[in-house]
Amino acid sequence: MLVEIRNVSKTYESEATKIQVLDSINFSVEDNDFVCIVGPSGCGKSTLLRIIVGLEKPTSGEVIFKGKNSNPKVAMVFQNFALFPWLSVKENIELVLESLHQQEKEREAIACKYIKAVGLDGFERAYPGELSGGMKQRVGFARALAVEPVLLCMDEPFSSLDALTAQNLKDELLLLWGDPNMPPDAVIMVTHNVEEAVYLANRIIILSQRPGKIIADLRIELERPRNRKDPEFYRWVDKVYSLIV
Amino acid sequence: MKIGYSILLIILFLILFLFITSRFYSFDRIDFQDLVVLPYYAVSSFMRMAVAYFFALSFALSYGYIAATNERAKKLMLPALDILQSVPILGFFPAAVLFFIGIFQGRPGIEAAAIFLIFTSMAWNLAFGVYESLTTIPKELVEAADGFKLHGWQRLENLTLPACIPKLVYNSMVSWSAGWFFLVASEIISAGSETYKLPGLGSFLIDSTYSGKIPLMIVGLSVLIAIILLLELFIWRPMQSWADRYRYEYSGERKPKRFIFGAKTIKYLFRFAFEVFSRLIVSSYIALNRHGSIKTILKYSSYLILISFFIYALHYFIILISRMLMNLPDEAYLIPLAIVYSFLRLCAAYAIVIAWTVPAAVYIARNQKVSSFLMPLIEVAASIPAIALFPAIVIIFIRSGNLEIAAIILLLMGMQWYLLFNLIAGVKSVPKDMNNVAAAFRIRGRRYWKNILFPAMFPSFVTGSITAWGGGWNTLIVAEYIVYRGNEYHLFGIGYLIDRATFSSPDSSMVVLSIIGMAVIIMLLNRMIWQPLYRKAQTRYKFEV
Repeated sequence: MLVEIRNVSKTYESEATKIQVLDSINFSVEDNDFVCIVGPSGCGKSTLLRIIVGLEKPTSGEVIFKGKNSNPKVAMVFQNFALFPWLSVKENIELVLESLHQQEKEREAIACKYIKAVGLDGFERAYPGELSGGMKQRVGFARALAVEPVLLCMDEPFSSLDALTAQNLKDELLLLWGDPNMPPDAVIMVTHNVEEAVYLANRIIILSQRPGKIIADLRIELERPRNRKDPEFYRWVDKVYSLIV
Repeated sequence: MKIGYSILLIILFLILFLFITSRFYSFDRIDFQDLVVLPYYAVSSFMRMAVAYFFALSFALSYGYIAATNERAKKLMLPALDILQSVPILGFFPAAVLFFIGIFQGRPGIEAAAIFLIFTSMAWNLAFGVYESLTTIPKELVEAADGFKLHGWQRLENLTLPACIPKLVYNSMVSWSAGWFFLVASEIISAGSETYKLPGLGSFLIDSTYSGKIPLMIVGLSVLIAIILLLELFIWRPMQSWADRYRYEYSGERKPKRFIFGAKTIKYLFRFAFEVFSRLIVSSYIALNRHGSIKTILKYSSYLILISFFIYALHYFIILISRMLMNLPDEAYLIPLAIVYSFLRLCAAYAIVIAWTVPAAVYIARNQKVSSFLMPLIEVAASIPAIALFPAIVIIFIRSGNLEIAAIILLLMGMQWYLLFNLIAGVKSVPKDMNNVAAAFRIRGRRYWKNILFPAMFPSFVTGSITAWGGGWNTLIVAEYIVYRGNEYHLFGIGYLIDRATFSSPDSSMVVLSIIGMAVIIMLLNRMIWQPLYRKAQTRYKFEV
């Protein structure tokens, strides 16, 4: 067992109001799990992801990594890329390696390796502003993979890209995921796009409307590579839809 | 890092230079042979500015950083900054002079006081810039820094400081022009019955005007304007295009502007200057925050210091006020009336400013060709402080014999640019879609102005007006009082009262009272007019990005 989410609840409090966004969430993620969390907007799926990454603290409950309370290597990919605009592609990646690797040479080698892996060689010195959306997100992936995470968390990584670019990037993500030499051991991805979830994941967790509760936890048993035109594929999509609505 | 320390050494050297050379300076009657030493004056003035700027920058970074990161400190620090910013700076001066002379004795004390005055004209808007930059970092970027565990110095260098750069560069330009303005006022200092002069362009200008040597004054002014233009072309322009890289919406397409020579050297200087004092101040703050025991000790001792300082200040303040009330200067009753006079003068200038800047801004902003040709010229014109136009005023005054016209022209110079630039930016901010909608539905002429252009300009009109009035109040100090060939000419107003109480018949309680009166009015205007308008602009008239 890689990560265990135990009884996680989250309530936001402001002066006048209390809003509960997550209600006792329980699940665990194993090696080789590609989990997609889907649900209606406002169901707290992003909050859940941020609690897993450690960006937010749950109001109650806990997140356990391999039986320990502190998280091992978790990396995150953001919806709007979150690249540092003043750093070049390579510097963006080297920056997150600084605390992990002392040697500058080492950092450079790792950065180059992952820039190549996401197909951006030649753009090492470019600044994020000079790249298209799809390329920016490639940098986002390279940065996340470069820390060689055990768990990769992604918050709607394709939703600010156009459909074609997103599709290309999904296929490449699956290639990297299928490569045993590449990190991570497991992926958790938040999305509101059901088709995307069925295409990528081998497990889908469906959250209810606010406060988010787990409605269903499905294993997607479809052969890879998956074919969107396959009726079987559509049966899965319909099933997930029917559970959300 | 070595370069960083050498910058620190250079700053120390500059201070030392100023302190030592200022002892050898004394002139009362200015003449043409003084032109030989004009370069030396220019260098001295520039150094004063550079030293003050360095301190202002380090103050701004630490103040803004603490205010942005410490919720409790913020509650105290922001209002304090707001007050400091709206109080006319000359008010600090007499007190500062006494304080610094007390510490450094004699000329070095005067030098320190002058630097302090320039510092006060530079620091506040820089600090606001840092605070704003740090509170508007996109949330995702902060989360990325958290998620990838960027801490301490690494975080400062890669997130905190870069985020400040665009606003710091812009505000540095504003600070320098404010600084030039006050340089002139800071180089001639009266403390008690004595008047000290520091070698510099400011004292040169005032001396040559007072003794009626217009050609000398024009030479001095040309040197001042030349320095300002050189800085604009060789430092601020390259710096701006460098700062573009640090914008979130940086597209990489914008070509660096003209005059890029030496941009590299400058940007390293800037960066290392950052490193020096952020290492000194911010990192010590972080370090202290990290060690629990030191933190508590520091916390309580700082409380203690703060409280004792507060009690001391209160005690001093009470004595000052009671003494002032007991023997109120005979002319104190003139202050409210003087403020009204000055206010009316400002209103007249403001009306003229609106009358020409609104159509001009619309015209310039909507004509790409005109804009690309005129904007650089206007930018250069705006970088010349109003005080540099002082001789023109004197000449107009001599020609027309009417000081009122001269004063209003000077006020115009002090107010108009802020409004013009803001309005141009406002017109340009109308989203393309909005114009397309207007074209598609044939919204033209008056309906276009009323429904699209004016609402679009409103927020920048308010921001521009706030800064324009700030500039106007400061300009009053030089607009209402001229000494020419030993004769004193004046317009009745608050600027005149302050000038007279500072220069010709020193009376510190009169200065303090005038400043307090002026500050109260400025704050009232801010609270009652500008802030409500600003809030309205922010909520109702803002295009969602």
